[in-house]
Amino acid sequence: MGELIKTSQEYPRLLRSIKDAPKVLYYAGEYNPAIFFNTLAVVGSRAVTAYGEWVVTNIVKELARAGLTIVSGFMYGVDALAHKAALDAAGKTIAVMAGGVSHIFPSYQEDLYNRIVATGLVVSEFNETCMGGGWSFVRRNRIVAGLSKAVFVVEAGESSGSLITAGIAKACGRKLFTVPSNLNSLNSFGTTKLLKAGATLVSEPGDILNAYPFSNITNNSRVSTVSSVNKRLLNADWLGTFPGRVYKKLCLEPQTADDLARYFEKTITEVLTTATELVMGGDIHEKEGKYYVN
Amino acid sequence: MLTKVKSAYFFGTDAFEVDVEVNILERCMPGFEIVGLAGREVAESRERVKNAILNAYGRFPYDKKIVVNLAPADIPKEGSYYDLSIAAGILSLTFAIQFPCDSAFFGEVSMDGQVRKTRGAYLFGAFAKAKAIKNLFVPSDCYQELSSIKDVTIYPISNLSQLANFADLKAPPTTDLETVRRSLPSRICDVDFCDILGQDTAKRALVISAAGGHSILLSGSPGSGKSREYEVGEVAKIYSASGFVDDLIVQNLCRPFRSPHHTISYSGMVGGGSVPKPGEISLAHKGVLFLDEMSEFQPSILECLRQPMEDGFITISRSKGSVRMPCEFTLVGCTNPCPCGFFGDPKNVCKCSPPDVARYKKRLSGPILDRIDIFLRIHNPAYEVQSTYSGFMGGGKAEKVSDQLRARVEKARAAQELRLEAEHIGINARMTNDLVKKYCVLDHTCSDLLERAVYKLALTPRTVFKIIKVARTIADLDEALTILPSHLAEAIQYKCI
Repeated sequence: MGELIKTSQEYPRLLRSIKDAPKVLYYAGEYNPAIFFNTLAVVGSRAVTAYGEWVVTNIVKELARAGLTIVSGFMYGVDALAHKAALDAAGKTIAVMAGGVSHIFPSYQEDLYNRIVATGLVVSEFNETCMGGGWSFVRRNRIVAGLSKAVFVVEAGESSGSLITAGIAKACGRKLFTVPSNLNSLNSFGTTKLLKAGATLVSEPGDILNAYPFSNITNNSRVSTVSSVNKRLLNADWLGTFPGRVYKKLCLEPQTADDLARYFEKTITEVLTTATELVMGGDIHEKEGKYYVN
Repeated sequence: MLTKVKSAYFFGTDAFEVDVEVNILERCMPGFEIVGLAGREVAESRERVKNAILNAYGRFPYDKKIVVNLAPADIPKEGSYYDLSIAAGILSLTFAIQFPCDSAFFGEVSMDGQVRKTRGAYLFGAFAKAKAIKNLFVPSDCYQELSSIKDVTIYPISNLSQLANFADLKAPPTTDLETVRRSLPSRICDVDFCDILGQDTAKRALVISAAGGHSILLSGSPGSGKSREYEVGEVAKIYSASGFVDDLIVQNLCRPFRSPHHTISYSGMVGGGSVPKPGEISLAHKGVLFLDEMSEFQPSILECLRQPMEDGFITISRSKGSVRMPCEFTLVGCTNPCPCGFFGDPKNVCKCSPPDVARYKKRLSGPILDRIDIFLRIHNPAYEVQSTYSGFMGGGKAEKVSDQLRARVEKARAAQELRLEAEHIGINARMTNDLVKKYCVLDHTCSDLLERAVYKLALTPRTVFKIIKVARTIADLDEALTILPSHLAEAIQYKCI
């Protein structure tokens, strides 16, 4: 637990450069100046979809592994997933709280908070257990953007906090990255808007890593592309079998057992049996009644 | 002049003998008294009986003192079914009607002398049989209900005037239960499975649940609610006809289907009252207890289902005594996935925060979920399904499939009964872990698959047993003697968590 004064040496340089940087930045966790280098804000919708989750767990995890510090707002949805992805990759992460540094909100994410404090940093412009409020969530966004060299937006609704963060980042001259979503998804409004306004489209971790100087990144492994995850799609023999056909269909779009049975004109029994086979093989998983490729 | 006839006193599903003693005194102040801790309904029977006798026989001994004693006198009597015994006593003294000495009477009379249909006739019949009472006088409308009671002469009475020549009474024609049961499909199945669009997984799971008596929990968005209820109602019909007619619900000729509202009280659910009456769980004995919006039930009421679900009976203790009532029901629950109902829905955005969803899910406690075998998440069928699809189970044609399914369910039930005969349980769902080990031997491939599933899906031992039980039922539906890997693989997908 400690505080960084705006005028001091320890205060993050990037944050100091923004217009209304907080005079004092409180923090919880072990202070290490290196954590403020190569920072990337990952922000997005609270109502994260399976697709958003996939993006965070596949792309952000790779970024954290490559050495980027993932900065986010500790909210549930994309924020929490981004912190988790960074921690799971044994990477660095900074959580910017809307209230005081000791005020865990949402409170049920206490485990995540403790994990971040143990290996990363929790920061806020407010002291101790200050409660914050609706307004402080918006104010928090300027710190998220200010701490980061670039902002990566994963899924954002029409009028979301993520767009506010992106706007601040743009005003401060930070780079903007985003991934496209299906146009018929509510979560695509924000990201599509950003793409039209000139944000950089991300399709693999390298797209973001290229914007960072790699001189001080210790683990300098080049990141594999996301599409190479689907090695199974290269096995033509297997794709001809029923499980293979189901897998290929699921690669297009998540499906329920009903959808699959109707599409392949098979009985539910056959579909469920095949699903078990694929789940056992680690190819797919089930969530809320739908099957997704891993 | 004194006469005695027999009646009974019910406590829960138990019955005890009551002597109805009627005395008519000549030299006394005229009057009509009922003594022996008679409740309000019993005391009111004075007026019913008086008017009924007047209307059926034209006169009543107004000028005499009539005293009726219900013995034993220290037990409170409730219910309107003592009317017939009181009337019979008075008639026997006034009109010198000789009833056989071993006679018991049951029934409520109306003012015009008619004998009305009265609740509890079957209980009374069973009591008479147990006590070896030879002659039973009951309302003629209850005769069908008693048709399975043997060794007791039953006199169906429709009017008090018939008591004078009871020996000439002819039994009304009754229908053979087996014939009625066979005629059921056309009568009660006005909804067919192929009328329900899509939802094939749900249909399949419900058939499995019906076949093996497995408890099932369906969760889905509000839009799918209507079809859900529809479906479950349909399955109730499958259930009803799949089973053999249960004595206790003779009138219905089908398995019970109870769907209490979520505002139900504790006593309404498990049974209660100072003289315990069966609750919904006992009324659903051998049938289905359907809890729509299961998460909305008070947690304490859901928790009290735990023990009955395990034991198959409930003991209700009250100051007046305790009674044990059977309650082997299959639980069919429906719930929304979250407070707004749209969590995981592809078309609508869920407005709930993760803690809201988690809290909502927590409303169904672990011990209750532990007792549910099949979990299913259902989605709204897509629009194109609703408009063009008529169900592949019916081969795409509007062909009635429910009859076919019922036949399969019946076969599966018969197979289970045969296998589990020695254990005195009829359905796979009631197998204990020991019985699962005994009757569901898995071959090498199956146990290998299960082992991998345990590792991959982090299954608990309890879940493993549930999967095996469901797999056994799937095998029974397939008419397979042993569980095959495909049966197990299907069972694993019913999210047995």
